[in-house]
Amino acid sequence: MTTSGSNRNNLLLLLSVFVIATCGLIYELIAGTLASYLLGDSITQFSTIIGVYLFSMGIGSFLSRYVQRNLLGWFIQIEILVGVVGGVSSMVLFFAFEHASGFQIILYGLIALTGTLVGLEIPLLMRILKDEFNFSELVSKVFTFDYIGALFASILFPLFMVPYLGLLKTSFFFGLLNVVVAIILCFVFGTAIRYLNFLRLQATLAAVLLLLGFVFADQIQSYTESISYNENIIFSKSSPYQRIILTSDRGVSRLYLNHNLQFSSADEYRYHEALVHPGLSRMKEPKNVLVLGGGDGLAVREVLKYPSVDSILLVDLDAVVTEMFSGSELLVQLNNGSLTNPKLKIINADAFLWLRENKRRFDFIIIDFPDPSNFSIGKLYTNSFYREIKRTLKPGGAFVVQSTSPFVAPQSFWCVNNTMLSVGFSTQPYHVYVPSFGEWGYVLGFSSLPAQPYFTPGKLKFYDEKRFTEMTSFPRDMAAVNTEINKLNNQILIHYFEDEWGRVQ
Amino acid sequence: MSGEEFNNHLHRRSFLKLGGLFLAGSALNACNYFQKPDSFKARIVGANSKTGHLLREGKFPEPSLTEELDTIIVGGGVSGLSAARWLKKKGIHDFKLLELDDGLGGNSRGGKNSISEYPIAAHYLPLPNENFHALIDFLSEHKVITGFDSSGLPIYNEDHLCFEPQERLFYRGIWYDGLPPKSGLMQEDQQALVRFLETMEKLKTRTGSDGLPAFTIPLELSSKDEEFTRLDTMTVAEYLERENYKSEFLSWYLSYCCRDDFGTSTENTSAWAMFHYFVSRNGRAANASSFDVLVWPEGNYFLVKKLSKGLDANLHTQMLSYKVEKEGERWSCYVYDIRKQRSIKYSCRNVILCTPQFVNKRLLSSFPGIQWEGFSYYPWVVANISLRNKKELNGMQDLSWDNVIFSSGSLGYVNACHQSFNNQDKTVLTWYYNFSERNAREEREAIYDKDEDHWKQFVLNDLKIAHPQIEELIEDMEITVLGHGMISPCKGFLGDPVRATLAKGIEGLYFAHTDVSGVSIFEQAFYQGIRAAEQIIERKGSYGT
Ligand SMILES: Cc1cc2nc3c(=O)[nH]c(=O)nc-3n(C[C@H](O)[C@H](O)[C@H](O)COP(=O)(O)OP(=O)(O)OC[C@H]3O[C@@H](n4cnc5c(N)ncnc54)[C@H](O)[C@@H]3O)c2cc1C
Repeated sequence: MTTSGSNRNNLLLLLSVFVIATCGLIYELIAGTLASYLLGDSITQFSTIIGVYLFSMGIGSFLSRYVQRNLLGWFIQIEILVGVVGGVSSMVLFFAFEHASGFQIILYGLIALTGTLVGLEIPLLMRILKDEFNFSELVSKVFTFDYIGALFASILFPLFMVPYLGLLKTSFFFGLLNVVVAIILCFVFGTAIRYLNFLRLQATLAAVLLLLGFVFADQIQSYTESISYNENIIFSKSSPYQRIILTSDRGVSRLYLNHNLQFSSADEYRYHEALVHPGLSRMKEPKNVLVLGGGDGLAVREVLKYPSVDSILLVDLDAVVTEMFSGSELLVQLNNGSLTNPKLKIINADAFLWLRENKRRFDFIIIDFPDPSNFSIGKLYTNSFYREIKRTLKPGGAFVVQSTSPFVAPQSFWCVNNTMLSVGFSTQPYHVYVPSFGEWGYVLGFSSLPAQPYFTPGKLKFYDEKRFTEMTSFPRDMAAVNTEINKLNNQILIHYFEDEWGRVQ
Repeated sequence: MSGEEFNNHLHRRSFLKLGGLFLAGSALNACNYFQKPDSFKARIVGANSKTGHLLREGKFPEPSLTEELDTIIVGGGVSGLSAARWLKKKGIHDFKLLELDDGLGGNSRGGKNSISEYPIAAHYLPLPNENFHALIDFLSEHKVITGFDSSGLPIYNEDHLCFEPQERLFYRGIWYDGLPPKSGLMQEDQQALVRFLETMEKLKTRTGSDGLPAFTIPLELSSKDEEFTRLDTMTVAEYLERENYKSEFLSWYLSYCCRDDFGTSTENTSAWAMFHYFVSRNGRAANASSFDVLVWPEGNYFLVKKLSKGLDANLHTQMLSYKVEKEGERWSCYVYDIRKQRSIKYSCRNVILCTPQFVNKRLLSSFPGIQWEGFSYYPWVVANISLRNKKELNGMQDLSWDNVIFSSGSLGYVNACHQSFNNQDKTVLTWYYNFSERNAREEREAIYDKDEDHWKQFVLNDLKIAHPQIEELIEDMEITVLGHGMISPCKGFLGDPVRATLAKGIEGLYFAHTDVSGVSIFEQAFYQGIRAAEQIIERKGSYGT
């Protein structure tokens, strides 16, 4: 080797220190992040993971004394191993969490293995380079690259890798990086290495494996998700507000928001027909309808069955949901393309804020919010909110509120009813059986409501006037109870709701 | 809807499927264990102390201008504004209010950034008692009260009543709902607390031999019956000792209350003042309970803005009064105009001093015979903290409006966005600390030269007790150092004759600052402003308009 060639080679080796340090730290961060998520308590997770990692690096350094010959070959071999172990680590952990009971054993095993391998590398490298530099220069160079690598990783990881690639891709990517360095070393040092072909073969296989992992990371991710759903996930996405998952199983699709079932295509018609028709059919020539929540367009689908309705406004917080239900073929089949109907206008906004600013008035308002399971949603069930609704209804108008299960959560259900009464509405509570949910409840609010419908659309799958009589009668196990009024300054409804549903789960 | 298929298993799994954003946030946290990302920089704000120095040095140019007018109000805090509002209401227009700061409000001022408005000090108002008509009228004028029900109870605008969850306490590693917490106390503590609160509750309906309520707001209308005033001869700590209270939690709780409301420790606070705090508030409403409070993103600055309405022409900021003297029948008020850098002499018939007595002592230095020693003010530090993401502070649990940490020296923090309806992740927290372990002067000296880095660490160390990862969530921290916070009603304050002297006024010179009453609350400032204005109106009767 010429001097300049040897300089170049030395630099290459030092750069590989940099890559190893970066990758090593990344694997550690991935393990820590995953463990914090899966097991909680991030402080404990991170400190134990750091501890185990550093300790294993010590073991690695110790073991390095037993490597006596073919230092460069070993160096490359370990580089490949680090790449493979680290690269698949996040996938292994995801799967282990789904399947294995010994998740922690696997977790710490992986950390220990990565740590040991990385720990082996630095001493080996120092020995490889010991004749090229004097001792102090050597130590300074190697450790400089090592620490720069660590810094690089710790910045790259949160700012770029996780947001843009996600954990799975990140780990495959860095695994690949390790292996690529190994391959380059194989070529550059060529004959200086023993078992060269064996190493090359290994490295190529590893690279292919990791590349495949990188390319199919999304599929792997959704496979791990589908395991917990026992259904095929056909769509999954995170919006700023929620995790949206759509599954399909033997022709039935289900939508989950934050893992709460929103509807099942097998029986959603019951829910939505019951939501819309009892009230809307009693309106005389309704023209303007407002839908709050209900970004799936299923309530809108029902509203569109009224020829007199010429404009519908849908206000839903989450643009990701409304876009998904306007665009996806399967979902458009479900809602009959209601969200792209020219009579409909969509506004993505917080309903309370929007309502405050709004000056338009409507003949009928449909309120289809998620259940009152937290303080922000609880606000949308308060007397203050229903006062805004009052201002927004035309004279003679009515509105309907989905109001959880009167069977499972009678206090919650009647609290919605009583809160509507408290702001001066008359109400008509009713309920229906939806197989996916069980017995479900709604409350109509109005100042007057005709006993007979003006117009009920034909060809409904479930609802008709006979049903209305049934739906409005409450058997003893769902009978009215006294409750407090839900207000912004007591949010009593979410306490009822938590109590009652908490008992079921 | 929540389906029956929902189950715990899924719940646990939900960690796995949280979106990229969420992971990214946490990964950021993760990295902090290895290497601190660029942390925010804290800033100290408020020029108040600098201008205060000017006053102490007393070097002002000779007045280049003399102006005559009927009344000068010095100080644009709540008491000054309340006086101004009342004069105007009563048809008196020939007055000016002079405030040294560049904004109005004093200890009820507010700030604002791209996230929200926020309080700088005062941040809530309890529901006023039914017979405090002036205050109820004021709140009605500005739609905080929207009407009255058939039995005459006020109906409050529910946007202003503090939303649930109102308060919480971080106690032994967990957040408990309520303050005092609704659960989680040991049995002895619970019993002591109940005993104490019941004692207070019983007093709510008591009247003294003079027919006046035992404790009420305004404080001046409370009974003078010895049975109650006797409490002023002991401190809260002495009272607890005398009544044989042993509960550690109760002493913590009362010490928290004393520091929060009176700016000093239980070893200093008059027991009467503490009773006043617990017994005097009995506001009733058609749609709220007496435990409810009125809050706004900007705290009581909301009320300051309402008080100042229509007074623009009379209110002058950046005007520092440095001397008030009697000249014959009239008063001379010397004022330094900070903007124009010149002095003005106002020659007037009446002056209302709405400035604290430690300032008045200098303004009136040539005026003998007033004993100022009884007024003590401990220092405070307030931090306004802009948070990038409040949801990451403690997972899925919502912030309350008021959040207090038990094993911490601070008084906790309030959340400026609590009353908002939008779903933004950002918010501003206002964190409070009262320094009252040593005497007030020592405490003041100990904090004056501290820089922003010191306060940043100080605030973080406190908050990290409950929120270990808060540092990465902070975008900005604005520090306000209040050398003289609020007046502290120390043992014996009620009996101090100087208060009566000041409350009466001296031939056209009137005193309205809250410290005259000894209890620093909006209601007192509001009431005392009106009282001073009425005193002037009465005096005018004698000299005509
Ligand atoms: C940290 C803190 C928290 C508080 N929280 C609450 C709360 O939640 N609720 C509540 O009701 N009360 C609270 N208070 C009490 C609050 O101080 C009173 O409610 C009220 O704001 C006092 O008004 P004031 O007019 O008496 O006095 P100040 O607010 O002290 O007003 C005095 C004014 O005079 C000005 N000034 C001083 N010297 C001069 C001079 N030489 N020339 C001209 N102007 C001058 C000052 O700049 C100031 O604006 C709090 C106080 C503090 C310190």
